[in-house]
Amino acid sequence: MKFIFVSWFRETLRHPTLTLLSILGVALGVATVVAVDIANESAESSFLIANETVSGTTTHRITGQITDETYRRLRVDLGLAVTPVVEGSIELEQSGAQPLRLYGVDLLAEIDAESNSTWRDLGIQNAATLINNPYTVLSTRETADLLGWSVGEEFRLAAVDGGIALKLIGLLNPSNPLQSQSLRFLLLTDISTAQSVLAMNGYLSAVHATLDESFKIESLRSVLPREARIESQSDHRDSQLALTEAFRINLTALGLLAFLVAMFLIYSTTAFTIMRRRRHIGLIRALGALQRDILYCALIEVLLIGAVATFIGFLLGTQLSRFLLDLVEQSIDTFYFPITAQISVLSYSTVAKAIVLGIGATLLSAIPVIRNITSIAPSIALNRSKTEIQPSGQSLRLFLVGIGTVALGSIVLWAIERSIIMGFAGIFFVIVGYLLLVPLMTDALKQFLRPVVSQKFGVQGLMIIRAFSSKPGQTSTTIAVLCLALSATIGVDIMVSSFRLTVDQWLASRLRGDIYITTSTDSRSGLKSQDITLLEQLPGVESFGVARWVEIADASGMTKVFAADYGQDAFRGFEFKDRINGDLWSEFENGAAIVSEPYAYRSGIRTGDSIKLYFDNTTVRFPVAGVFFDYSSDQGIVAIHRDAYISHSNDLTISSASIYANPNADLQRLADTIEQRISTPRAQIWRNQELHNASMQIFDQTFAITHVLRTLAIIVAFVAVLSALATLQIEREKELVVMRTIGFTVRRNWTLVSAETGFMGFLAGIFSLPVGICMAWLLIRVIEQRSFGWTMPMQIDPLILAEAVGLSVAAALIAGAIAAWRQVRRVPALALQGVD
Amino acid sequence: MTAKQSIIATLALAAVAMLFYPLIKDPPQSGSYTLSIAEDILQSDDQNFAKIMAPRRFKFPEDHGPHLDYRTEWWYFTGNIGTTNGDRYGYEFTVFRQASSKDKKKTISQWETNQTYMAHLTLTDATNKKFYSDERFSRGALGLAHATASPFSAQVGDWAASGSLVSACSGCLELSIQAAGDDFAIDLDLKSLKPVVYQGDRGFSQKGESVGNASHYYSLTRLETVGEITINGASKPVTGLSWMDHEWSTSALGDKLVGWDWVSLQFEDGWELMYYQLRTKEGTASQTSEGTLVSREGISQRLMTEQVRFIPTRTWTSQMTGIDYPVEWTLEIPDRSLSLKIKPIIDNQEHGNVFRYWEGAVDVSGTDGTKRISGRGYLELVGYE
Repeated sequence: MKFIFVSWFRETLRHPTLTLLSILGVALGVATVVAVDIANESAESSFLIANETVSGTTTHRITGQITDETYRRLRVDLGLAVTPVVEGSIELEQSGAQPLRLYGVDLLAEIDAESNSTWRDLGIQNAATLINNPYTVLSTRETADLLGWSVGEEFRLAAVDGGIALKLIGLLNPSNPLQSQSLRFLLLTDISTAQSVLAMNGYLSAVHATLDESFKIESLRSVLPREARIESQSDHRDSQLALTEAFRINLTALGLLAFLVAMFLIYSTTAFTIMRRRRHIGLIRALGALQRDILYCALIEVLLIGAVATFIGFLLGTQLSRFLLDLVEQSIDTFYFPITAQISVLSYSTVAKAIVLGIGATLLSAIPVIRNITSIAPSIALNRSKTEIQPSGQSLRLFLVGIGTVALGSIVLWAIERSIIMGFAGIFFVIVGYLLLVPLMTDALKQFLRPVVSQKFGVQGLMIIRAFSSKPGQTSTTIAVLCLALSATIGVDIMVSSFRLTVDQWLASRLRGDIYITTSTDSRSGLKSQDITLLEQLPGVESFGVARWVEIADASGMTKVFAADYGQDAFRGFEFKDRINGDLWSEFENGAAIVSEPYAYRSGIRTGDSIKLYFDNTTVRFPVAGVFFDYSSDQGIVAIHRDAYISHSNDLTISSASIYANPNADLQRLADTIEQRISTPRAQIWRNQELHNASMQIFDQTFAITHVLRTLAIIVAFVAVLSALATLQIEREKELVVMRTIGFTVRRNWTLVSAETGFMGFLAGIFSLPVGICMAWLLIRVIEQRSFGWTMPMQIDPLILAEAVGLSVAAALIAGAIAAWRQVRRVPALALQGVD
Repeated sequence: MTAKQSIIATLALAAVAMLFYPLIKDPPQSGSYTLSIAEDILQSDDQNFAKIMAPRRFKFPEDHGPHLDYRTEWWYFTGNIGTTNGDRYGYEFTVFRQASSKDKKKTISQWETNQTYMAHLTLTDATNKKFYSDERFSRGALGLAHATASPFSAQVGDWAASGSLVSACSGCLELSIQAAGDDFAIDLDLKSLKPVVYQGDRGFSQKGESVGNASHYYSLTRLETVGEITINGASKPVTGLSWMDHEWSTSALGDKLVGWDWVSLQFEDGWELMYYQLRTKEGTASQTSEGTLVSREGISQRLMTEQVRFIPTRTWTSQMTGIDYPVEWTLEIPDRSLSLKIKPIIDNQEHGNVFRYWEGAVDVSGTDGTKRISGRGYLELVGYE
């Protein structure tokens, strides 16, 4: 038995390149999955800790248009243990600096409510000063150090935040590193300072409450405005996390994609490494090794490869996760909620996933090959000419299974609506099914090409074609691996570029004003009336529209409502899914609502239905006149005319204005003038192009992580193709040597090999186009819609397709070159004798 | 120097010290530390506050309300109440106001304030030997906590004493107190039976040797009390007698003083007595202690330290804090042949929240000359460690 092991692994060590390539491929696959997992989990745990840090032991959270007076009524009239919060983001005077989170609390209320919030545990030493002296703040030492401040120092806020100076008067003392992390870039201040700085006078961001289990939540309704939302802290956590769920599932799917490619890689390399040693196996079988011994040896080798690769992949993944987490954090921060994420402690589930994928999947993908090899009789194994599996029947069988799998995938996609995970599962089936079609397609193409090639290129041309026939199983696996990786690239690329183009066009269409004024999203008070007067009087302003952004309760929770008074021209910026814009204006003006696509998707609303919005004193039913395209929020928007909004809410606040300049006005000067003269604190002035660019920049930031993961998948694929093709060619070394002995020059062999591999690459490229486009279509139609509620036209950039084919050919050529390089160095006579 | 003035000062410190709650979570060693920090703050910038230099002409209802020019103020209600079937209770409800000196308003926020409030609520259940206590904190803004003169109101969160002046007697009030702790509540109506009693020299209560170290201090010594108490959800109608103090000042306890023992007594024959004794670091009574004796007709007589012997006779050790409190006392006024024994209705009446002190209902019995007298009252023991 021992000699069998020794003999087996000595054989393995004789060809380390293949083993190393296998390890590299699996390691990269594991690394990607681990990195995505860690990034996702870290983002989640960071959020949870941050949440717990500020909410303490309170049980409920009340949000949505909570005024000072509402708080007073909760505290005094109802006698509840409540604490107020006013929070928002601020920027320092130095441009480009880290935005900070200003967190305003009433420390006395915290003590009174015994809410056990972190503020109490942090050892607040300057509480009295904080309350009694406006514009003072506390931060952790870490934050102070990161910002280069010391206690007692003042620092000025950006002009947009009123240019106020805040003074750091003391340090918070977090009780553990996780808490410290959740307080990073947070400035704790008194609620009066927060209201003043954030222009939220009279309003609170949230009220935390500690309510008994027996407390009847409905009894709060008498005190709260209609748009207020009462959530238990755990529901709030869940709903916040649910917001990012689609985002996280998408990341996981992309990570798994890289792994799927890695699995094919494992399959093909195991197949090659084991097939290559048929002779060796036959030999040791002839010397007395049992079938079982061979099985053990093969299994142990695969397990070792899997284990080493998993270990390396795990290490790589933990490193990669830091980089990914930055990108995840950026996206979550932009779209969902403020978060300062830090890599959290490794979870068992991540470790388990790495092991299951790295070792389990390696084993799984190697099993068919191992079974095949052990079942071969020694005499056949030794006889090289009979070792190939009979191809044609197999191709047909695979083809039929492939068709079945594609059909299954299609049924899953069609039958199970709305589930993102099932959407990915469907896409997975469709793609894997398609890959199973590849062998027969290759055969067919070969048959078709044979006469053409023989006519054009003679014997050499035929040799290329025949090279495929000699090892059909291996060549088509190689093509399939390449095809999978390429289709993923094509799919993701087309999806992102379609999306980008759509958003670009959407912005161009929607942003019709020349200059925009926006107020901080934290601000509840909006544009001051003197600024409206300023716009009315400013020469250069031809006209302007105003709008109010507000959250109002609807049947399912809180909804962003856009109450616009923009005039018919700006209204033309809305594009509708199912109606022509021109017909809608009068309906909109007369009080109908229009809803964004994600809103319609999430709530199942269609044109002609109606929606209910709960205003302070009344519930209003709005007919839905149309569903408009909108990519600004995946939670959805309801737009109504501002007149209708005012008549129900009496809220005259203006959140933003869009300005139409005189045709001959100097826009930059006009923007500068407005910037100088505007009196609303925290108002921002944007020229059309600036707003457009800023939006696109956010878009690109969001998709940065997609590109990273896609690139990882390509790298894995590249390794896979490299190893597959290189093996294929190494296998053919003897043939090439024979060629040389019969007179082929090295160069000629080179050409032959390059042509062969290049052709395979080309085939893979061509085959990947339909499935790539199909994948893009599914990503857009299924995943985008299910994740975010967006639909968009697929826009195929031919360059993406050309790139994919180019990439494929390049990978194949490089692999061929490596193989050819090996045989160049060898002396034909020795090689023929089997001497390395 | 009157003791109650020092009480004002120290409880004022306590009011400031509430801001240092995190520092005083461990009661045994932190109390004095907290007070010393609070004292630092008190002494650092009191130049912005008015000082009490001389007796004032009290005017009602105005003087029932807050005096925002002074740093510290409190409204103090204690009472002995019971049910018709003999269940016995005591209660304390106090609203403290504490101001920090401050420049004019800097932010646009309605939350900005230099006034902070604290309230204490206790209920003693003598029958079941239980003591309940709770406290509230709030800033004096947005109506979360405030005090007003007309109508009278002293409120912290949803706890409030509110009412109005009645013409029956000078400064007399009719008011109601509503406050609910975690598992107990009081809802009482109070009505003055005697006019306002001015403590010290016409309500001017000198606190120490330095000028301005004084308070204004008056009491309503007998208030008829009717209402309801609730313990663990069960409500009972109660009747009894209450006592109200109202005091304000800007100054603090003298350096050498660590605490005080204060008692208010209401006798069945219609008299009342108030006495407090300031304690020095050495544990002796300060010469600045004093009191008042109020006749059935409401005529008051000042009691000076040298007239009174106020001596502890038994201590009780708190299991919660380990502090020894002298809970039984004798009080003698030899001039008047008055000799009294003061005993708590239960021993454990330690206020055990952010601030720790003993304040509880007591029984009093003794002799006035040859006449046997008895009554009920409240005893306050502050500054023990």
